[in-house]
This record gives sequence, C-alpha cells and structure tokens, in this order.
Amino acid sequence: MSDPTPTRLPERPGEIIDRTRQVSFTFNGEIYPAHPGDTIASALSAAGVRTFSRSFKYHRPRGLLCGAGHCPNCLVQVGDEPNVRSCQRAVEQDMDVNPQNAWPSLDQDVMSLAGLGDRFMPVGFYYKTFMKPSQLWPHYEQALRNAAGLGVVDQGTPWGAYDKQYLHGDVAVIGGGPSGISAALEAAEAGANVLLFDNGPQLGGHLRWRSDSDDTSRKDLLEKVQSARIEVYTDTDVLGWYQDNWLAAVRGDRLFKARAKAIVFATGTIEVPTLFDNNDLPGILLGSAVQRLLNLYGVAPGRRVVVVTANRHGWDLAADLLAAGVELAAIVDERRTRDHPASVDLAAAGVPIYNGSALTGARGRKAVSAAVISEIDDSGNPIGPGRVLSCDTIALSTGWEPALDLLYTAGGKSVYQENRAEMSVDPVPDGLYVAGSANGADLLQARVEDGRVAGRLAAAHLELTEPPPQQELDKLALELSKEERRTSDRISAPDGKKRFVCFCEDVTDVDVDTAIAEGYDSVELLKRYSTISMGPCQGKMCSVNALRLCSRIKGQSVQETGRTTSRPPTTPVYLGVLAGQNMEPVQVSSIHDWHLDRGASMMVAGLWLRPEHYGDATAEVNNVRNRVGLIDVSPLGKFQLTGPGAPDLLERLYINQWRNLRKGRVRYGVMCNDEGVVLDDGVCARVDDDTWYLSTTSTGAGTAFQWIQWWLQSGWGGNVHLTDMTEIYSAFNLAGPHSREVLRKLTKRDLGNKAFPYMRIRRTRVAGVSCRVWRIGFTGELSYEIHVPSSAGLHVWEALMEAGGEFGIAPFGVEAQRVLRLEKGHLIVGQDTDAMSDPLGADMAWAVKLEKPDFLGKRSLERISVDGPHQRLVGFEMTRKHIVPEEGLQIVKPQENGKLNIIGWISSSRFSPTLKKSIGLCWLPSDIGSEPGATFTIYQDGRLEEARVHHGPFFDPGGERLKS
Amino acid sequence: MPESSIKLSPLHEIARDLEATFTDVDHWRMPERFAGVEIETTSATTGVVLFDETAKGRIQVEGDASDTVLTSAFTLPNLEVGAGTHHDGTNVVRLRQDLFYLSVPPGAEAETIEKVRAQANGSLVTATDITDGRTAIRVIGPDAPTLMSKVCGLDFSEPSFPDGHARQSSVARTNQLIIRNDLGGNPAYSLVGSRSLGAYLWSVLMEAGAEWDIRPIGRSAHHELEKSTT
Repeated sequence: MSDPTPTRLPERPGEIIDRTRQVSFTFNGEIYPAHPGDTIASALSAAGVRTFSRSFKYHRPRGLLCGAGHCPNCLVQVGDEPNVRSCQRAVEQDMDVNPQNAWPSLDQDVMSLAGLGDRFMPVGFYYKTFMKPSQLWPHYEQALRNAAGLGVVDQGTPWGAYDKQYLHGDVAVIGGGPSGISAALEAAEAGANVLLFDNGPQLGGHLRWRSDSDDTSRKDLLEKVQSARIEVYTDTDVLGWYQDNWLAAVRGDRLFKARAKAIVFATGTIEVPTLFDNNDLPGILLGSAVQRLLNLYGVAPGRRVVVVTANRHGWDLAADLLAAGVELAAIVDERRTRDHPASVDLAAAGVPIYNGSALTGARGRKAVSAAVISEIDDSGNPIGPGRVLSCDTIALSTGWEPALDLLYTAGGKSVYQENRAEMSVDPVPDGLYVAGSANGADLLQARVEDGRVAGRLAAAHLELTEPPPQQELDKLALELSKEERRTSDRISAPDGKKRFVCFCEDVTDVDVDTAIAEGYDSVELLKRYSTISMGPCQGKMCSVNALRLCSRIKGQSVQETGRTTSRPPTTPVYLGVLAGQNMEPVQVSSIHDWHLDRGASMMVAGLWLRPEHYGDATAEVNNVRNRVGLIDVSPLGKFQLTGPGAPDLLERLYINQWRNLRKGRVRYGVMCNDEGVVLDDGVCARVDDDTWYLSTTSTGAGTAFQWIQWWLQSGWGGNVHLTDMTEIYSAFNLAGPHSREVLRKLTKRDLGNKAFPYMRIRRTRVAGVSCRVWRIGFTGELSYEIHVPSSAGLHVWEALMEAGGEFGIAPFGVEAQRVLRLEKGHLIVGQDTDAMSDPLGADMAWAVKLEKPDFLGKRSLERISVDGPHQRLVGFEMTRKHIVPEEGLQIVKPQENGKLNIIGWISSSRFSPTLKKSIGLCWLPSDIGSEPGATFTIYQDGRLEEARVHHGPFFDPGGERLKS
Repeated sequence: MPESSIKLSPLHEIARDLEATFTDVDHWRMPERFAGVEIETTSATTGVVLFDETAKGRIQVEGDASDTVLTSAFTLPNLEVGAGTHHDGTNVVRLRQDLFYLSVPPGAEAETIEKVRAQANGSLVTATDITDGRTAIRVIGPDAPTLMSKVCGLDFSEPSFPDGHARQSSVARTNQLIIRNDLGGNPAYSLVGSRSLGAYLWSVLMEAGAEWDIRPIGRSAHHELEKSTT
C-alpha cells in the first residue's frame, strides 16, 4: 500500500508543517515519518499510503476523500480511541495508528468477499433475514456487530478529563472564514461583544488553503480581529443550537455552553462527491481535500491527476496542481465554456481539457488506476463512446452544499434552489443571520460583503446600530443573484459497478431504488430503512445526493421530496465531553472525617453521606439499650419560624394543634398535603413567644422547606419568617440509660426529670458551646438531641465521646437507629408511608385534630374518617421468629383455587436483638390490621410465612425508659 | 465558649491534609499559609487561588422593614436587589426587597445582630446568625472569572456582574450566593453556600482550576492582598 515514491512536495507558501523537525508514528504496524503540523492523513498521503481503513458493510478499501473531517473514509483507530478522523488529528510522536474494520489485515480483508454476495444483502437485509427464529437474534446481532463495527472500544481505557465552560456574548458568529470574520468585525465595531467560533486551527476558512485566497486579505482580517472586542475560539465545533440561542460548542475535551442575543451563521459550504461507478476507490479525492494536501501540508495527492469539475474551483485546483509540479492527466468540465483565467496556462502546458464532458466511472482494484469520462448532452447524459484516462488520482470539484444543518435546527426552513442545485434557508428566524458561502456567495468579495451586512444586521437587532439601508441590501442581493452556479446535480447512468450514495453505511444507488420500490418512499422512512445519513458523516456527504436520487426515482422535485430533519449534535462528539467534569454534590456533616477515621461504613441518604454502622450494628443496638450511644443526626431538617404569625401557620401546616403549646415544650407533628397524604413528620418546639423551632425528616428536609415556603408566599406569610437552620446546627442524639450521666458532665443545667422532663427543649451550654437540647426519644431510650452550632460540632461530639467513656459510650449508625425505632414501633415517613398513606391509616389518628378550623388535608381526612381507612399500618411478629421478611414483600391471602390475592405489603422489618425475634411494620386491610394477634401470610421466595398483628410498641410499651 | 479555638471550617481537614499551618481567629482555627506567602500572593495576582473565609460572620436580615432598619443601623445607600455596599467592615448585599445578607468580621456577629434589632422598633425584622451553616470560599485572581464560568452559568463579564454585586445561582450544581468583591485589583468572588457542601465545592473548584495551577492561600497571603487593595 505504501507508494515507493514519496509525494512530499518542496515547501509551499502558507503551509503549516514544520519541515525543520520530524516525528514518527506507526500505522498498521509500520513506522512512518511526519512533520509537526501534519495530520495522520497528510503524513500517510506523503508516504504514498492510499488505503486507511475498510468500509462498514462491504469492507471495501477506503482512503482520504474530503480532508475536512466530514466523511467516514479516513477513520482510523488511534491507540484505544476508535473512529478518529485522520484528516483532522495531528500526528504525535510514537502515535499508534491502525486501520479499522479490516480482518485479518488491511490489505487482505476476508469480509471484503461480502461485496461479491451483495445481491444477497440488499438494503434492509438484516430486517428480513435475521428475524426468525427470534431467540437467535442476540447471536445474529453479535455477528453483525463484529462484521460491521466501527473501531474497537477498550473498556479498560481510563476516564478522561472533560469539562464545560459557559460563554456569553451579544453576537455569536459561527464560522471564521472571510464572511464570518467580516460579520464579527462589523458587529464588534457597533459595540457588540462577539464570540467567533471556527472549527479550523486558525481563522481564515478557505483562504488558508484555496488557490483563490488572498493572503493579504486574510492577514488584514486577522489583524483587525486581534484589535477588536472579539473572543475567538478556533478548533471549536459548534454542534447544536438550542432554545434562546444556546449554542453547544466543543473544543478538545471542553464543552462550551454559549449564549448570544444574535447569531450569524457563516458556516460555509461542504464539498460533496458525485455518483459514478466505483466512486469510493482510494485515490478519489474532493478538490478541496487536494488543495488542503497541497497548500497546508505540501503533499501531492498522487503522481497523475484527473481534475473533474463543474465550476471555477476545479480550475483553481488545476492551476495549483500545475504550479506544484504535479502531472495533470486531464481537466474534465461538464460546462461547455472555458473562461477561467488559468485555462490559457493549463492549455499551454499541454494539459488535455475536455469541456462538455463528465466522469462516468473509475477503474482500479484497490485504488484508482483510470478515470472513465464521456461527453454529455445538455441533460447531462453521456453520449458517444467513453474515454479511459490513466491516472492514480481523481480530484472531484463538482459541487458544494451550504452547511446549514445548525440553522435548520434553529428553525430555518430549507428551500432547494433548482437553478443553483443547492439548499438555502427561507425564512431565517428572527435574530439569526446567514452569511457568506452558506448564503450562496462564492466570490471572495461577495462573501466579505455578505458577512459585513450580516454583522451589521445582528448588531442592529441588538439596537447597537442602524440596519444597513435597503438600497445596500438590494445591491448585495443583486450581486449574489449574479453568482455563477457552482454545483452540478448530474447523476451518471449506472454501468454495473457499485456507486455509493452513503459512504458511512455502504448504501448504493441500487439500494435507494430498492427501498423506494419497497414503499419506503418518504425521505424519513428511506433514511431509517436504508440508514442513509445515519453514519458518522450525519448526511454531510450523502444527504443531497440521496435527495436528488430520490426525487428522480419518484419523478418529483427535490423541494417536493423534502429533506430529513436535522438534529443536534451536527458533528460527532465524545460522550465524555457532554458529561463534563464530575459534579455530583455530596453533603457531609461536621463530624464526617471522625466517622471515616473510626471505620464507619457510609451510606447515601439523599445527597448526604451518613454512617450506616461502625462494624457491628447489633452491638450498637445493644449498647444503646444497655449503656449509651451517640448518633450523628445532622441531616435532620431544622427550621425556625419567627413572628406572631407562627402559630397560625403551624395550625394550617400540621394536622396537630399548636397554639396551646407552651414555651419550652415540644410536640410531635405531622404534615399532610391537600389530599391528606402524609408529607413529613418531626418535632416542633416553642422556644419563646414568637420563636418556634421544628425538625423534619432528613431526606424530606428540602421538600418540607419548599412546601412551607410555598404556602408562606401564597398568602400565609403574614407576620412570620421562615429560616432554614438545617446546616447551622449539627445534631447528635445521645441515647441510652446513661445518657443523662454523660451529658451532666458537660453542662451546668439541671437535667433532672423535673427540671428537664420528656418532650422539652432547653438552651444550655454543652462543653462550653451554646446548644439547643431536646429531650425526645426516637430510639425509645432516655435521650437528648443536642443541636450544636456546626462549626463547633466536632468539639462537642468529641467532648461527649470523652465524657461517655466511663459509661461505655459508642457511636451508632443509621442501621442501629432503624432497629431501635422499630422496636419502639416508630414509623419513618417515606419508608413506612407512600404517596397514598394518610395519617388515619398510618396509626396517627390521635394526632389528627379535625376540630381545628382548617388545615392542609382536613377535607380529605374528614371523608376518610367517616368510614375509616381501608388499610392500616400495624406492627407484626413472625411466627417463625428467625425469619426476617424483606421490606417491600407482598402480604397475600390464599384463595380456594390456590391463587394468592395481594392484600398488603411489608414496609419495615428487622431482627430485634433486644427481643430476640423478627418484627416489623406492614400495611394490612383494616379488618385484619385492627385485630391484635390476627394472622396473615407473607409471600417470600416462593414460600408462605405466617405473621401476627401487633399493636403498639414492641419494646417498653409504657414509655418508662424514655421518660425515666 | 472555651478558651481554645474550637470552631472548624468544613475545609479544615483539606487544609490539614495539605499541611497548612494554622492560626486562631476568634475561636476559629484557620489556615495561616500553605506554600508560602510570596508564592500564594503571586498566584493570586497571576492566576487564580482559593481562600477559605468561612470564619467571617454572616447574618441574614429579613423583613419588610429591613431596608429602613439597616439604613438606620448603618449608613447605607439605596440598594437595588443584587447590589451591595461596604460600610465600616460590614458588607451588605440586598438579595430581595425584604432580604439582606451581611458579612462581618469574625466575632462581630452578636454585636451586629443587636445593632439591627435595636433599630427594629417593633417591626418584624429577623436577624439570624447563619455563620455556622455556611461555607465561604473566595476565588481570587485574574483567571477567576474564567474559572467561575466553568462551574456556573452566569455571565461574569464586567458589565454583567460588576464589583460589589451579588447573584444567587447554581455553582457546580449547588446553590450559592456569589458576591463579587475584587481584591488587589484582581477579580474575586465569594461563594457562600451550605456548609455540608463546602468540601465538595472546594474539590470541584480545585479540579476546574487545575489548568491555571490553582492553589489555596492562607490568611497571611490574603492579608497581603488586602493591604495592596487599601
């Protein structure tokens, strides 16, 4: 595959390689030289390599085609990264590059035999062939994936570092060619902050590499950009437009999220190939790719080139090749006129010129060896015998397609201009502007002027300047209308060889014909059935040819045929870029590192990390029951209500009564929504006349705060302020028979039962820190919940641990707490209740004060109270004491016919180390749940287990321990 | 309150792991220096640095009459929502028509709250010391706006977010109050958010700032920067 004659040319003006230095890399196991600045493709081309990879379906050899990062033909594997566009990726020292889709080798690919059996693999063949038997589909799928893969993904690849950045501007200009630069300069001059994006390494667009470039013009434009208020982002692909002018752009591993008030789409054009026999052979390149090779990298595309064209650009290209000393086998121009200035020199140099002729096919086995051309009639059909031109390269410059995908996604409507054989957009949405080559301008001056006008219009949209006078707009429109046609829509007649419409998916013109004949005649159906435009190029190379082909087969215009919907991303993007920097917030308490140092096993609770246990949850339960334990309950929601309106608000928010709560006292409370469903629970204390302090569940804290805030802002906020104290206070629960003795060592306050009884709150210093101390008991033990300013949290925690040393204090985690509260029969909102649970059914009827004038959920609860709840939350014990049913299991009622009716579910269950038996909470039909000792059946692992209803706490039912 | 410094920032362990030297600031134990004052100040004036200013006092003042009360308590200009001012060591930012945020020197919280309450004259104005519930991280340096644009969707350009102004927004997916308070001629932003998320936010900022060799600075370097401002 390697050409023995290197094709690196002498130094070219404007080239971007550094010839003073050399690097080396491997391709397909061989070492190749390159210069810094080379792409993989340019370096391989300089070494005479024509075939880079194999195609998707038929495994045909493929090489450089577009040179612009659009087509799939030069995709290679670089190290562990598949699908790298070799024409865009710069060579690096020791880079390991390999072909894709080739086995056992690039030169001899077994799967290329598939091309011989193509008649058995028509379009959609796998839909038809591999459907039955259905159970074999996974095997078919694996085989198909292996045969038609795109590179190899190494799942052991380490995570990359990706990030995002937000950008803001008045005007965003997409495209840094002459029209984009001109638009940016004009908008900046009017006072706009301008963001200018270009996917090339430098601004200038085609001026960088095309023969009609005016280097002086480019340098002049660049100088102006540097002195203007323009933020330039080169090497940046804009891949999506979203609502409110939100642009997604990618540079390397970074995703830019850019917002602009107006956008100029100076996105240029994409050179597209045409349909002819063997149009995918290596050695067939688009003209712009040849010019890039020549002028950026100093590489000749081959030794003997046929230039095929239908516009002035082909002649520019031919002139470039001639100047570079590359042999021209011929210039073939569909047009009959020969008015390009270079034609004289080319003719004088003896280059054969065929006007009124077109390319009908290419010959060659693994690469081009000849071009077949023919004279054509006025309709573009071949006439007379064809002519075979020996060559190793065919340079195609026959058509351009405005790059309008982004503008389509922004709401621009496509209009096919038959006279130019190109798409345009009309109307363009308000605040968006299209300029330059994408707008049909082809001559440099027209592009610059069109860009300038678009920039002015964008600035005028922001009221930074006046719009251009109508006379100026009319003049520009007239100039653009005079532009020479640059695109051919000719499709040559087939001659038995493959003619690829879609290079990504190996879809031929015959496939399109077949699909339409089978009824897939709408473009959207055709796309999905044939997979045209669904490959890596995303339609850039194939869409317009597919539409033209479809329109001819159906006998309708391209406009009538329509086009498929454009969607972002318009260029391929790494998923890692979309993910960006890992930003998963984690909340930790002020004691977090202490927990880690003590070997705590952490669990996720909402965003919080909490100690689940410190090694032995059962020992922690026993320690609390027998001695004293300390748990970090900092995530509990903590809110303060201030103002005389607080009692009224509480009466409305909670099902309980509050006005009669005296200072220093605490009451358990339940909040419901308007449907009477339990939202949250907790305790609430009256700190002083106008200050109330309440707690909520840990995971429900955020929701509860929003819920209260919503009602405050909906008319219940008179004379009351709500403050979220959740983070201000860390909270620790000191629980166990020795808790009073421990706390007594750290405070001067009288902790006796008379001075500080159950369900009271006191402000006191603990270890010298002013704290709020509640005497409450979720665990069922004598306990104190100490709310300490978070910055002093670790100090107080360590003081408690030290003070408790002589009493056998030990920390306990969430798992032990769950067991302890279950032994006490306490429910957890969210665990033992769901979106259907009302307090009457949830064993909280005692708290529902229907006699209150009004509260959230009252009407619903009144209705439920008439007949009573259908389901009840009750305790249960297992008949077989060691069986612990899984939480969430169904409670069933066996029927006479052997079937099982579901009648309830298990919400909590644990083995109680205190009671030495399995206990839990469950939802049962009221008739069963109301009867203590009633038996019911739990379905577990295919077996039926018997359980009995239990009412009230399992442990210390009289509450002597927590009131002690 | 005990004699020794018992108040710790949620970033304390991070600073300790970085082998910072510590100093006491009104019962807070705060990093004095990390790599050295000169290195830290150089980074702050040429790149971007993070400074833990959690020890500063933070007070929230709420109420329909809070504007009047604060104007009486301090000499305040009329502040639009999002605008702030500095008076005698106290920074005041208006977050809502009826909500203000005050930043005061460490230890001045109680005195400031008393000052506010004294002016309330029976109107419902709530002054709450929220110091313990927040982490405050100051991002300082010429690259600070770009760093911020990597973690927050706001426009940090000069006209959109001028010095002395504040915004409430999502930063790295957490709710933060962002106050622009330039230092030594360099852009600076104080991020005030939930204490429990402080360590997370710090790590995100350090990772996002790696491209500028971001580093933490201690109180000594910060003091040097403050001196250069005055």
